[in-house]
Amino acid sequence: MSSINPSPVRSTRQRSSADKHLGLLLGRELLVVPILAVQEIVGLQEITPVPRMPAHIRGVINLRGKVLAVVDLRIRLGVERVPDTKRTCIVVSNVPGPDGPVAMGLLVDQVTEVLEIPKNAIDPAPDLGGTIDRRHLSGIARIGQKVALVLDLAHLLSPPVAQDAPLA
Amino acid sequence: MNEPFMEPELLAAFFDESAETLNQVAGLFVELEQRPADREVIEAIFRPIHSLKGNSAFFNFMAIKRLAHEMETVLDYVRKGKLVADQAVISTLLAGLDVLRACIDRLRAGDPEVADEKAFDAMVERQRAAGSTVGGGITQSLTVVESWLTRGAAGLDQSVRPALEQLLLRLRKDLGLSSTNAVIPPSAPTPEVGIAELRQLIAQAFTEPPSSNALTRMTELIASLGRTATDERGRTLAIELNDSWAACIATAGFNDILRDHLASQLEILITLPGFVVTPLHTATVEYHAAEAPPMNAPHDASANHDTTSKEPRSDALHRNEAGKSVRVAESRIDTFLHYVGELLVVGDMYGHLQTRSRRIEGGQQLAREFRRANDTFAQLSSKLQQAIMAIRKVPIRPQLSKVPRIVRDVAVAKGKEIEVVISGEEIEVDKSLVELLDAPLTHLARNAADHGIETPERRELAGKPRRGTVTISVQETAASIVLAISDDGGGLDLARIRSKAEALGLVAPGVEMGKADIVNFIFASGLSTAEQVSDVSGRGVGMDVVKRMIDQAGGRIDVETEAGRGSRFQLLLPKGVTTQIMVGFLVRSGGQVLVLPLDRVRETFRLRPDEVTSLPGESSGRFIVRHGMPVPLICLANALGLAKDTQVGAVVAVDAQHRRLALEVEAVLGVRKVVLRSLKGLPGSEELFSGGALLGDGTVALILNPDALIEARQDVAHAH
Repeated sequence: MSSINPSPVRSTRQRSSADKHLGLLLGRELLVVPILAVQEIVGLQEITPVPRMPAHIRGVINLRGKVLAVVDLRIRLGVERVPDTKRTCIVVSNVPGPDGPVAMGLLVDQVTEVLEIPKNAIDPAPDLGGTIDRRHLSGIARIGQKVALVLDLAHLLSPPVAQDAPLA
Repeated sequence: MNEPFMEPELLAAFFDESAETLNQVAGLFVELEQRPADREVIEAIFRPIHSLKGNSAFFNFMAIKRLAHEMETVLDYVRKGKLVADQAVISTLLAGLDVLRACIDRLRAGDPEVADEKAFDAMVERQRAAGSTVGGGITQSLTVVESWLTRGAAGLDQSVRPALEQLLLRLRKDLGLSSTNAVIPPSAPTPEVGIAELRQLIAQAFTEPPSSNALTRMTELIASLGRTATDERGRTLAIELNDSWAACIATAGFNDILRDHLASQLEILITLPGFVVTPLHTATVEYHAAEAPPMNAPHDASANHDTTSKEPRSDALHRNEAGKSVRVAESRIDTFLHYVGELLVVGDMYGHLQTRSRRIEGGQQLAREFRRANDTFAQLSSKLQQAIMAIRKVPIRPQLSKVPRIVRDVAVAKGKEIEVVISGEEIEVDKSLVELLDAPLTHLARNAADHGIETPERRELAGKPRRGTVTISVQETAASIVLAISDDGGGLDLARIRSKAEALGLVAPGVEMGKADIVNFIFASGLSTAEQVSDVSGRGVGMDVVKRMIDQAGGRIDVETEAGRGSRFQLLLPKGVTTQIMVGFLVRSGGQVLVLPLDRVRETFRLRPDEVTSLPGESSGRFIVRHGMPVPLICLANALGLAKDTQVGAVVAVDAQHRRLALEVEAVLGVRKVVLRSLKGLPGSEELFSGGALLGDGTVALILNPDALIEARQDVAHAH
């Protein structure tokens, strides 16, 4: 029972997919999330609201027999909430939790494209003056002329800071 | 050579099975020492060693096969009465067993089969030597058996006397000594007949599934081939044939390749010139005949004894027979269960389609046919679910049988006289339930003996028999397993519990409380009413833990107690703790569908406004009186902070934390089997919701935990 040594081919491929990011739009703000954390993208479907949850928890959906919690990324990040549109979709991602990764849905206004962002094109996140909770950002990426905020899913499940607590 | 080329799962199963088998067999040897010549015990040892040999050959572990083969030969002689399993023989076999076990352990750890080739070879040689005493050892065997019979060996089970006597007779016969009561040998099948029969059976077995009788017969015939071979080549071939056969039975199943293989091996074997039937074969048959009710048995009186002794079989033997099963990892069954759960959802979807098709013009007929198909589907998936649940079931007996010992220890330590009455031990429960019940059962049984039952003196003073009784009963209902532990002791000391609760600050002095509320305090952590802390109980930890465990499993504890008459703790547990399917009671409230666990729903009724009593002041609750009892009435949508219901369609009374709550809902949607899914990534949701249920239209409904409603209600009350 020998362990399988990763072949060099495989590791190169892994490195290149580690550079890949999925572009998301929240309003006019472009965010990117590492593609390795993304499971799939599903269209908006009926979400069952869960009572007594923080406002950013939109509810739960049934994804082929599994029940997933859906987080409204706008509310979570403190971007103003807008009504759902045809482009609104759910990005199913693996979010680190206390007992290992949890599959969750992230409600976003739109997904744009898959972007190749090498590590050296990502700088530490600057202070944006309070629009977005900086805990959720791992950096800022330069993509040609544009910049995009790199989403950090690690704190998505931790309790929100005081100002974006739910309104009772 | 040792590099396994098999699938790891197969290999793991082989290691598990072999390790367990060897442990079992070791236990059986102890038995054999007490019941020498007991055919049942010998067979129970022989069979696993035999299949270990076959399996190890299949996995290409040739050292194990070699040793197992020699041990099998020894056992075979013992089985046929050619060798007496005296202490020396048993020691030799046990030593071999240890070596086999070590081999398995090494293989499992990824090491080669054998560490020390020399020592291993010596062990193989030792087994062979034990087998080779046959023949020359008959005189010696005769002496041993005679001494057993005349002087009575220590621990010799009297029920094996007849078998020993038969053995003695045959040994004498083999030695040419006169036998007073000769056993008439039935006509033994000639080898040609046996081989013809075997040929036919092999051909048959591979065209249609063989019956168990045919399999047994084939195994017998094939095994006998080895014994009939006289030269080395014949023996080797016979062993190989036997191994192919063992592989058929054990793992590979029956297919064309194996059939041809087996058949060709047989054909080669029987062409060997040395292939003749030796008296060994006849001896087997003779021994079989001796097994049958002894016709001329010298001790007729013992015949009676013999039949009764067959009934209570030893535990080890019992386990061995139960071991005739397939080993499956628990996770695999759970995966299966998971899929069956999905089937139920599909059934629900069909239900939806059926309803929709009825609405289509002219769709009535289609809807009817749809329903018929769907009903069948539902029945089948429900049967499938039950069948899988049944696989997970184990008897609860071993758990319950621990209780007398626990109670006895307490009784001895406390100078009490206690009888334990157990009922329902034949009930089978889900495996996870057995594990779950272990701690609560121990704790409650200990409590009943220690805190419940009084000292004999006190009991006499109270006009009760000196001897107290602790009763454990298990019952099975449609949805739950009910385990009750009751005692006829003094009952819970409510005043004492209350004062302790006050001391712990759980309740203010002077506040009026019902009996049930006071009893509930025993589940508070840190509360124990034992007069003094003892070794056995009374440390004030336990009941809270018990309650938490039962709660987590979705069960509940009910306590009944009466001063001077005793207490009864009843655990109500869902049948399968890991069941992903539950019977839900669906309601609509606050604009969404919510599921209540059906076993918590007591009744539903319509509300008349004049029935409602509002309490003025701070608590500002509403009550209704049901069956003479005041029941708090709460609006479910309100308690959950959902949109207000347009109307109160019905009230559902549920049990929550040993209390009853009446919930106002918009509508009752009915009872349905739902698939339970855990909710992850929702902070603190486990409290209020025990999970999500998948509905037929593809949406998710939340499953409410009624216990949490008590707190929710209090929050709402405070918010107002």
